[in-house]
This record gives sequence, structure tokens and C-alpha cells, in this order.
Amino acid sequence: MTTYQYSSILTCLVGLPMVGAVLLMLLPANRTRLIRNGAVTVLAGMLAIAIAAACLFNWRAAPGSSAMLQLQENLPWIRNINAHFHLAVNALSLFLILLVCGAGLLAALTGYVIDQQFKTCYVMLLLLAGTLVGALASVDLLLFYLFSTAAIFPGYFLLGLWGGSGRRAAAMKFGLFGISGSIALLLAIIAISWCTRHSHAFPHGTLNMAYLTGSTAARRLAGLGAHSGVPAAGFVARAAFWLLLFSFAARLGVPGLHMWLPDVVTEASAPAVMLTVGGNLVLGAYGLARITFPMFPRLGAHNQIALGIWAACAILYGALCALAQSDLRKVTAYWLLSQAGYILLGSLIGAAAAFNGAILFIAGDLVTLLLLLWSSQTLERRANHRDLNRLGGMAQLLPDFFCFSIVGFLCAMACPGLCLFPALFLTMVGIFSAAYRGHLPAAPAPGGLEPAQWFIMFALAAAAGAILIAANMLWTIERIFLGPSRPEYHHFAGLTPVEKGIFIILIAAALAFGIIPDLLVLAPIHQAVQSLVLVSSRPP
Amino acid sequence: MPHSDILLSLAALLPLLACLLTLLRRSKTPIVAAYTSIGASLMSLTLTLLAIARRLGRGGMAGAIHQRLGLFCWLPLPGGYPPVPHQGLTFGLSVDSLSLAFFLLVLLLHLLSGVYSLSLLRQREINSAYFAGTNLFTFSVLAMLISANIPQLYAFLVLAGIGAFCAGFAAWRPDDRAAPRRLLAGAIVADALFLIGMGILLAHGPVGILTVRPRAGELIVPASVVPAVGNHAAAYIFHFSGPPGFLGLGWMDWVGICLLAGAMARAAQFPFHCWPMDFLPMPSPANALIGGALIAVSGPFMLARLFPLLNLNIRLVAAICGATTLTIAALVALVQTDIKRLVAWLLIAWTSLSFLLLGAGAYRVGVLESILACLAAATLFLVVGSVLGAVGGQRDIRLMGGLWAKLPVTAGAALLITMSATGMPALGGPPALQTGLTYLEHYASAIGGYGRLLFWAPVLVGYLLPLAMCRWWWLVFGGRPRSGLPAGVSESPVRTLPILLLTLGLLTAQQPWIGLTRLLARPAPVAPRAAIFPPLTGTAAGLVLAHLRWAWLVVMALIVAIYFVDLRYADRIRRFPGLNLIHRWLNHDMFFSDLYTASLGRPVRLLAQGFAFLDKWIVGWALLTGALILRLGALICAAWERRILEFSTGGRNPQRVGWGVFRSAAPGAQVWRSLLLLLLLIVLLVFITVLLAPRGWSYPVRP
Repeated sequence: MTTYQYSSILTCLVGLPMVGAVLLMLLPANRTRLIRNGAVTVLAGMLAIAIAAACLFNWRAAPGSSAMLQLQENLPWIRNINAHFHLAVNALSLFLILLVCGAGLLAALTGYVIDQQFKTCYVMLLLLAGTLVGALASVDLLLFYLFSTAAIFPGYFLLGLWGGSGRRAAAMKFGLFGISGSIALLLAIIAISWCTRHSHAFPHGTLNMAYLTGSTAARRLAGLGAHSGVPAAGFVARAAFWLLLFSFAARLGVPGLHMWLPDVVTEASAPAVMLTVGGNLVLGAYGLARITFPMFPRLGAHNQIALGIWAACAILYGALCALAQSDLRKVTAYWLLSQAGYILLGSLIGAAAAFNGAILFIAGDLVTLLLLLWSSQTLERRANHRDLNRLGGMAQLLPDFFCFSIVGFLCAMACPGLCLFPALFLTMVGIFSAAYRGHLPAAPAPGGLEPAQWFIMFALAAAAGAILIAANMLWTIERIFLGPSRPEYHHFAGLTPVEKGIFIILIAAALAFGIIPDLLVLAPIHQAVQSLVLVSSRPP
Repeated sequence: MPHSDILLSLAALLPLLACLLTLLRRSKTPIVAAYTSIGASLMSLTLTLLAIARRLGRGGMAGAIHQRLGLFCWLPLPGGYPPVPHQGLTFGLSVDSLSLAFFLLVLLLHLLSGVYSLSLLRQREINSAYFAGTNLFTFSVLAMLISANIPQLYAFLVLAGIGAFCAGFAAWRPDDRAAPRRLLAGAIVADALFLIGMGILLAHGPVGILTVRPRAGELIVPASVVPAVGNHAAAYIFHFSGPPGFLGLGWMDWVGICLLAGAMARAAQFPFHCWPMDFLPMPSPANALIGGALIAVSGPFMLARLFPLLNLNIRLVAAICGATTLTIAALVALVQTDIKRLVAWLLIAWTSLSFLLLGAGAYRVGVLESILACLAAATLFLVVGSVLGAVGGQRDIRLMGGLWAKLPVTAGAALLITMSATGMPALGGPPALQTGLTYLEHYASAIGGYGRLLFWAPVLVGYLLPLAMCRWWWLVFGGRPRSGLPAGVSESPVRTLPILLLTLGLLTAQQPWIGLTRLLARPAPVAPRAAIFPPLTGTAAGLVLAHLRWAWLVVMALIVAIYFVDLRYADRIRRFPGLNLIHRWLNHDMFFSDLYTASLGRPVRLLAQGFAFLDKWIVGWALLTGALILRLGALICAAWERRILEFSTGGRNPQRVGWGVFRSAAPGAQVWRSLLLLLLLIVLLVFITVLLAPRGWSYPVRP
């Protein structure tokens, strides 16, 4: 199969929404239909380009080879620090780009629920999609920083301009946490640049992600303190690791750094949340799985138990908090917190099955999040509220809505056949594999338990989280759909064709990821996962 | 792909097709949905019979019994360190005699309950969604029966639960909307345990350990398992617990416990035995289908499929749980006055007998017992539907009576089932029970000590269940009506035909000329068991069996003695001091539901409230405090800045100085300006760099 090592297709992919945004800005604000169709066309074009890139991509490139990174656009940018405008994708990032483009298109399609300042909304959506894709396609850390930081601003405006009464505070929290994460990322990049400049491996320094996460380079970077002889180099590397972890965990919304997430999901409008929260979820998980742990495998392994405890607590914390909510959006938000814990756990275990599970969690969570958000949006447009205690009997009043939205709840419960079940299953298998026959961390484990016993505890926490989430979703279904129907809701109109269409697209995606995850996700990214796992699981 | 497998796949898919068609035409009349469902099940049944005929034509069921087929890779499982080459869990089809027998049984139930449902259409008790749900349920159960591996089996079993939920959806009482949650709560816990079990198993064994691989030979398999089990890929762990690990149990013990929980939840075994009471508000045909296919078939089938993965310790656990459930169910059934609850407890009791037998190693008897339980319970639920239709929905059997005259065919069928279940020899009742008790006596004596209870519990129940069943029949059909019956009560062929066919199936299934009983007639493979258990020598067993054979006569006499005077003696007995407390305890299902709510539900809710409080107030306040400190700092800086500006501008208004010149009167202009600037920067950065730079430049290759 031909490998397209170099191509400008990614530049086109990143540039298209920017150009589209400029063109939309030039249109008069009263041309509603033109603006909406234009934005949808641009985002559909993005998806088409991403699919074309997937067609050009050689998915069978051997792990660890230079062919892993394809469709490159590599230009010098800042020579002093050896920074490049380097766009390229491996199988993992290309898959995530496809996901983001799909989510962007769906967010634009659902954008009709916004009835004022829609031009600004669509411009922001395009900018956000472009910057997210740019970050995922970046190979240079500084370029990654640029795009990921730029993604905060359209997200901030999207969250702050449309939504409920508390949207501005929510946007402020999002902005503050996002900027804090970005500053941490910048500091980490500076530290990495400094480290690489002083290491034997990179005499001129480098910010190239592919080099830094390659097996040899990563080992040398991980063992910097021991090999370089530079005072404080070990401390700087450790600082870079923790800063990266902070940055991406804040993006992901792992409990402890999650204070922005419930407010954002609750207060902002559905299209804004879809792309902002969904995009941040993808970016945070990508940062953990592709950058943080592969770049610092020894530090990752050394702190595996501590991070695992954090992830396990996150799973249980999110699931328990969700159980006490009476707002459908808040249930969704805390469910997402719990899922962030699963992603963190899957990424740090280092077993291929768990890593595959983490990737499937990203895809499944995105689809499920969109389904839950769209359900809450559809309901809110009719009932004017989302208070679960004031709902009930909707199955009789809106049978179509019941049929569609229940799939979202079942997805969230990790029901087999739907998108999150393979993720949960593989994560559990991965944890047990690591516990029983893995290279467990040599570092002393806290609490007097062996590392294998800690891993079993993580698996139990994951299972307990799944039970709590399932119970919560059942209770939510009960509060929305069962019981007597209230007279004040008898006038509700059925679903519109657009609402049904969006539900059908999302349900099809959930089924596809649940039934053929290997064909759609795991087989294509297999080589990339193997290469990352090889690096992460074998620290020096 | 063999033709018979294609036929079976189509047979399983047809109910799904019917479900989809029903959903697409949801707004149309339910009668179309009903006939679509019946047509699909008829076609499925025909295809299944054709598939069986093809297999028989290829040398009989025993010769061509096992087929395994992989359709596509469902999940890749690179097992641990170092990552092994790409291998996966295949989504496919595996058929043996066990799955075929259950397949046929479930299809028969679906067809007959669908025909029975036609009678409910006029009363508007069911709608199109009901048929969609039952079709989804049947598809899931059928697909589970022919699953190629345990995760696939598990997936379809969960889907079957959802189908059951949807089938009864319209039937949940508005005032008890928590019923579905209670219905599925136990299954969720069991499913999570099942996931853990599969995870541990995959961590230790190859992927194939989860595959339903019926071919013998590659592993050393206990001979007792070979003829009975269609699945012995991992039977080498028969005696193996693994080194002591977590909490002193070997990993194989943990695997067994976790996997067993999944089967126990479906079969409603202790401690997952409360949920069947919450599916009773569904219409009676749904009770028959779900009770028969999920509780009586799926649970024991799952245990049978997992049989080779369970070592002796875990089989003992299964047997103990079965015996416990059997005792609980028989005792509770004895005092029930709600007709549906009574039948539900009978179903649980029969299924637990099957579980007990399977756990004790009496594989074939256990399977046969589950088939009988399925047929008997489904028939009784349909009978209950007819009775409820006749008495206007009144479910208290103390207010019934005298229905024999109004529903003669139904009463006759119920009497035949009661006689058969109580052990009347001419009706084919004893073989399963007697052979099972022989096994149990053997097993219990080998264990010794309290293990003997595993034998005496079913013996006790052998008396209690007939008592409960005869009481039920007598109060419903016998004597005189204790309350007024609605006028015009009669039987319709749509209702009586399924009842009669199921009764006929139940009675003939136990006859010697049917293949099912011939399974029992085979000599039991005792060679490897002899090493574990001593041979059966006790005379006590023969004594008990001899008594049990005629127990029904004693029981009938007892029933008539107590109830022929309209419950007066029964009421007096119940009023005895102490007995009334026991009666109350049993009548409330031993308060297990309340116990679970108090010990699990409430503490979790409390914990959740605590965490929500923590998140809202403590975390929120911490954030707010941080923000306030920052704000204070900003105010101090701003005040300081103002002083500096005033000082530097000589006292002029600082708003007109510096950034003030950029202020605009138009709202939002600043936002646009910032955005435009950002956009221009990014566009310039991306495009100008790309256009000006030389093509094809890349990093120098480093060694």
C-alpha cells in the first residue's frame, strides 16, 4: 500500500474552517439560512477531508517505524528552539480527528436551537473545530500548545454567550481552568525543551512529539536525571511530567480539576457543550495517552499506583455525585467525570487491552455525551426545565423520544452492543492482565498492599463505578419516562424530523462502535497502540 | 457456513426483524404487530425444525451436534505483557443439542404466548410496544442460546433483560415506577461481577478459554463432563482453584463466583431472588414468556454453559444457593394469596431445583428440570391470565373459587400440571425428581455434615410445593365462588389452545418415548465421580423416594381437609401466637426487599448525598474563596494602578489614558476585534508559513 509521507491535506483540513469563519463573518447577520448552511457545509467539508485523509493513510505501517507518522507538512518555525510547523497524523490522532469532525458537524446541525447571534455561534464553532483539529494534527509541542490554547477562546465565547442564567460564570470557570492548563502546558514544554537541549539524545533540543515519544528517545528523556549529569535535570523532567498531567487532566475534567465541568454542561447550550466539552475530552485524553505517559514512561510507571488511586476515586466520586443530582444535565456532567476516571485508568495501566479500552472510552463517551445532551435539549425545549423530580410519564407522551433517548442512557450504562461496553470490558481485562501477569511498578505501594492487589482494587472500583452509573441511569429513566404523565405536559409535540435524524445518526454511531469496535477503531489503530504501549510499558 | 446454521441464524433474526417492523409501524393498530410477531415466530419455528431435520439427516443429533462458526472479530484481546500478536474474540455461532433444545422451547413459548396475546388486544391491555419488546426479548434469548463465546452470551443476556423491560413497559403501574429499577438492579450487580470474572479469566488463560468450544480431546476432561456438557474447553480447571490470592481464595474460585453470579441473577437465585416479583405487573403472556425463557431457561443454560469453568467449590456454592432458594421459595409460596406471586414463587422453586441439581453435578437431570420448570411455569402464567380475565383482575385467591364450572379446560390443564408437579406417576412427574434426588443423596452423603441438608432440603420441598400447588388449585377452581363472578365468563380457543399445547408438552416431555427422558435413562458416568464420592448405598434414599412417590396423595388429602370448609381452619391455624408472626414474615417474602433497600439502597443514596454536598459546597467554596482572594488582589492592584496613573497623568481621568482609547460605544465590538485579531494571526501563521516555505523539508534523520 502506498504511504503518503508528505501531503498538504492536513493543512487544508485545519485551514478550511478558518477560511470558512472569515467568510461567514463577512456575511450579513440576517442571512440566517445562508450562514447556517454555510457552516454546515464547511464542517461537512472538514469531515470529507478527514475521510479523504483516512483513505490516503496507510493503516498498516509497522509500529515504531517512521511510516507511523504520515501526511506530514513540516516547515521550520522558530529555529532557536527547533520548533516547526509540523502537522502529521498517526492512526490514533487521525481517528480522533475523524471523531472531532463528526462532532463538529453534529454540533452545527443542532445549532438551529440557538435563536440569536447565530452568526457568532457558527463562527465560533468553526474556529473551535479548526483549532481542535489543528491540535490533534500537531506533531510539534509548541504548535500543539498554540492550537490547544487557541481552542479555549471560541469555547469560552460559545459557553458564555448562549445558555442558562449561570453561563457567564461557567464560561469564566472554563476559561480559567483552560488557561491554567495551557500555562502548565507551556511551562512543561519549556521544561522539555530545556531537558532535551541538555540531554545527549537531543543536542540541539527538540519539541517533536514523535521523537520524544519514540522508544529510545523516551527512555533517555525518562532517565534524564541519571544520564545527563546536569544538576536539577531530574527535577525538571518530573516537573514537566506533573505539569503535563495537570494540564491534560484539567482538560479532561478529572475530579479534583473538574470544577468547570458541571457548570459548563449545566448552563451552556447543547451545541456549545457538544463541541467544547467533547473536544476537551478528546484533547485531554489524547494528551494523556499520546503525550504524557509515553513521553515519561518511567515517571508514569513510578506513580502508577498513586495515579490509579486518583482514577479510581474519580470514577466513584463522579458516579456517586451523579446519583444525588436532580438535573438531567448535571447527571450527564457527573457521569462524564466518572468516565474521565476510566480514561485516566486505561491510559496509565500500560497494558494494550486497557489502552484500547481508553481509546474506545473516548469514542464512546463522545457519542454518549452527544446523545444525552441531545435528549436533555429535546426535553428542555418542550418542558422548559430539566428537573427530574418534575418529570415523569414521558414514555406515554413522547414514545418516539423514549425509544431514541433510552439508547443514550443504555450507552451510559455500558450496555453490551453499544459503544461503551467494549471500552469497559477491555479496560477490565487490561487491569487484570496487568495485575496478574504484568510488569508491575517496582516502586513501593502505599497501604501495605502489593501492587497487584492495588490493581485488583482498581478493577473493583471500576466495576463499582459501573454499577453506580447503571443504577443512576435506571433511576433517571424512571424519573423521566415512568410514572403517571402530568397534565401540564399533555400538549407536547412529537419529535421533529431533524431531531429524529440527529438521534438516528448518534444511535447508529453508538451501535457501530459497540458491535464492530475492532473493525472501526481497534484494528486501524492497532499499530499505533502497540507502539505507544511498547514505550509506556517498558520503562528503563 | 453449513445450511443448518444459516437456517438457525435466520430463525434467530426473524423476531428482531418483526421488532423493527413493529417499531416502524408503531402508530398502526396493535393487531398488525401481533400477527407480525406470530408470523415471525412461526417462520422461525419452521426454520428451526428444518435445521434440526438437516442435522438428524447427517447422522443424528449426537453425530452432528457441535458447530462453531466465527463471523467477525468482535474484540481484540492482546493479553497483557508483552503484547501478543493480534487475536480476538470472535462474534459467531455455536450450536449443540443443549442450545437446540432450548432454542426450540423458547420459540414455542414465543409463538404460544403471542397467540394468547391476541385475546388481550380487545381489552387494550397491550399495545404495539409490547410486541416489539417481546420480539426483542426473544431475539436476544435465541441469540444467547447459540452464542459462540461467553462475552457474547453475556451481551445477549443483558439485551434480553432490556427486551423484558420494554415488553412490560406499558404495564408498569404509575404508582410504582420504581419496579423496573428493582427489576434490573440485581442484574446490574451480577453483570458487573460477571465482567470481573471474565477479566480475571482472560488475565490467566488464552482468549479461547471464553469460547464455547464443544470439541473434546485437546484437554484432559473429566469423563463425567464429556457426555453431558457441550462445552468443555476449559474443563481442565475442574479441580483447580489456583494459588490462594485475594482473601485466601484462588483465582479460579473468584472466577467461578463472579460468573456464577451472572447465572444466578437470571435464574432468580438467592440472593438475587427478589426481582421476579417486579415483573408481575406485566400481562400474563409476557409473564409466561419472560418467566419461562429468562428465569427457567437462560439462568440454567448459562450455568450449563459455564459448567466446565466452575470447579467443585463453586459448584457447591451453586448447589447451596439453589437449595437455599428452593427452601425460601417453597416456604413463601405456601402462604401467598396473590395468584401471580404464588406462580412466580413456584417458578423460582422449580428453577432452583434445577440449579441445585446442576451444582451437584447432575447435569442432565438439571437441564431436564429446567425444561419442565419452563413449561410448567409458562402454562401456569397463562392459566393465571385466563383466571384474572374471568374474575376481573382480582388477584387474591381467597376471593376466588368455583371457577371449575366457568373455565373447565383451563382448570383441567391446571389440575394436570399440579398433579404432574406433585409427582403423580401416570403423568410422568417422578423421573426427573427421583433421579435428581438420587444424585443429591449421593452428593450430600459425600460432603457429609451439614452438606446432607442439600438432600433433605429438596425432600422437604417435595412436600411443601405440592401443598402450595394443591392449595392454589383448590382455592381458585374448587369449591364455590367466594365472591361474585362477572357475568358471561367463558373460555376462548385463543386462550385455551396455547394452554393445552403447553400442558401437552409438559406431560409428554417426561414420557419415556421422548428423547429428553431417554437422556435420563442413560447410565450415569460414575467412573470419575467414584473417586470423589462414595457409591450410592444408602437405604434412606430409597425410603424417601418411595414416600415421595405417593406424597401427592397425602398432600391432596391434607389440602382437602384444610380447605374444603372455605379456609376456616387455615385461618385459625394462622391466628396461633407465633404462627401469625411467621405467616407475616413469609407473606412479605421474608422481608428480603426491605433488607436490601435498607442495607444497600439507602446507604448508597446517603453516600451520594454526602459526595454531592462535598462537591457543591466544599469544592465550590474552595473555588469561590480562591476567586475572592484573586479578586481582592486585583482590586488592590487596580487601586495602586489608579494612583500611579493619576500620578503620571497629573490628575487626569485615567479612563482616557492608555487602553481607554480603544473603547467603543458599540456593545460586543471589543469581542469582535479580539476575535478578528486572533483569527488573522492564526490564518497568517498557517498559510503564509506554508506558502513561503520550501516543499518537502523535513527533520534530518537521526540514528
